[in-house]
Amino acid sequence: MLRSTGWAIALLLAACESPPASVASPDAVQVAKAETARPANPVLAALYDRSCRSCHAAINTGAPLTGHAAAWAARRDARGELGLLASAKAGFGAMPAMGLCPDCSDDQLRALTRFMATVQ
Amino acid sequence: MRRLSRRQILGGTAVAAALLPLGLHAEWAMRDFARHGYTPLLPPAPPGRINWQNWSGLQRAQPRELYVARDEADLAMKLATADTPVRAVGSGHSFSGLVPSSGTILDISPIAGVLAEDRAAGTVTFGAGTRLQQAARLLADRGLALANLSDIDTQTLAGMFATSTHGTGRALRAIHDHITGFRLILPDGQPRDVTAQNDPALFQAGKVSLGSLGVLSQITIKPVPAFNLNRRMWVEKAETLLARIEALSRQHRNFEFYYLPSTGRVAAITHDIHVGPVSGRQPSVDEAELDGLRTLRNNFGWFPWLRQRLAAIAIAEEELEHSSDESWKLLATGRPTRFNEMEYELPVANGVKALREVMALADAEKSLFFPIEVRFTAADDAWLSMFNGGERLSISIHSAAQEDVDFLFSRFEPLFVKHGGRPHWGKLHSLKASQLRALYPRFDDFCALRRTLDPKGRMLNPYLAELFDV
Repeated sequence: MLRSTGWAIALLLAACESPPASVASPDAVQVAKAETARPANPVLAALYDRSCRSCHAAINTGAPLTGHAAAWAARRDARGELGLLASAKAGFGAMPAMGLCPDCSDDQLRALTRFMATVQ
Repeated sequence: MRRLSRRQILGGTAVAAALLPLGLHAEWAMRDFARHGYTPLLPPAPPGRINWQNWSGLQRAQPRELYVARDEADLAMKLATADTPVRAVGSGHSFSGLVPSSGTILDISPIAGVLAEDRAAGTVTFGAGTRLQQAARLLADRGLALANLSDIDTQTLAGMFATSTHGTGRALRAIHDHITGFRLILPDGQPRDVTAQNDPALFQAGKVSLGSLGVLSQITIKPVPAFNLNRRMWVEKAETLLARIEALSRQHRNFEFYYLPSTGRVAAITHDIHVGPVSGRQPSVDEAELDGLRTLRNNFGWFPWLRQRLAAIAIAEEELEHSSDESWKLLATGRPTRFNEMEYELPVANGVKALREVMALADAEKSLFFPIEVRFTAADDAWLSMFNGGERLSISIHSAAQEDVDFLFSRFEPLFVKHGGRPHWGKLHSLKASQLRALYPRFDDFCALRRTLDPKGRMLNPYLAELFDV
């Protein structure tokens, strides 16, 4: 839909808007992996299935994809592990507070974040 | 005083004329689009209170307790004993005032997953806290699918049923009509297993209840065999598409489109049954498109003529997407940008006329940039279903989460009401009992049943009390 000319004119006047951080999009292998990856711990897996997985297991949601290490590293570098926990608890972007897991403990949120950031 | 020559006056006018657009542009560009009083952060809750807000941040509350029910017994215990009003929350995706409570907000997220399967009857029973996408995934694991899906799939089944959440498809009924029964935990904590056979009245009332009859804990769905879809998305001039609405809505299994405000263009989407290998999901252009429309608004909203011309250059009439995949992977899409929304369901016969008026209003609303969504849903017979008694055309107007919503009520709602629209229960509207009674033949029956099941009004917050005229 987006032809460059019109948006280029419009964007010329939008100098204040900062470009998003550049992280390479996940490749087909990473996308396929995110669709099926689940934590090995059954308690965490059940929590993941009913909350995080809604947005982190597929592209086009705006959320970093499970197993897309580069996207998670960029966020961890910017906010730190505690910052990511704070984002999960308070909500961030389109993610609601507690990331659809209202009964998750801090430890569970950290473990789920670690799983999504590091699963191979 | 020195007199200005004619040439000087003309020259000065020309300079002023040249500067005027720059001035207007600067004034517009420096404008803060955030609505009056908007604060991104919640103020700290007073002692003994907890902060709650919906997904968009528009609805906020400070209940005494936000309670997460571990299981059905826990839910029943809490429902019977909690501080009132007791309101249940799903995923917080309603923009209307269904959830806010000064007493207790109940969350049933842990009551999730498949509880039972009846292969002979072809039904699957889910915990009502299961989110739609998880339900779709669990059905897919069993070679099954929901016949249709809403375009957002993070709602819980209970929340979705409470608000008559729907997808699009002229021959397809809303999701609440694809069930055979449910377990309702009444406001006094007693469970009630309801089917069309054992309690036809409560079955038709409970399928779409605004969460006012108790809390659903189990829902038995009658799915269809899993199927794949072929998705096409393209852009064309609004005028040519409007002439084809009737045909497109009948030719395609799922047909919807978005009017792109102040551009004269629409983005249309169809889904049809696909046989053969699938291509998989494609990266979406939705957010890039939304950014472009926002940028165009931010810079040229003050100059509608130029905004239209630039949009005509920027937005090509072409196919944007052609892909195929399992049905549940295509019908619902992510929504990275938060918004508020008003949606009315109109009799299809009034749809195109109303739509033309909505588009004209949208083009005159200089700060509007969010695409306006148009969908179709077939009739069903749940008492408070927006689709009760006849097929409807849905028109949804969105506003970015931090921006104004007043214009939805002042500009668009009167038009929707004039054309016989029914408001989506989970979205913004201002209708009260007197108007709703005229729109729903079974409204008073529902109110009477509600009084029987919740005589003390434990589940009524001020919003619902006014809506039901209690």
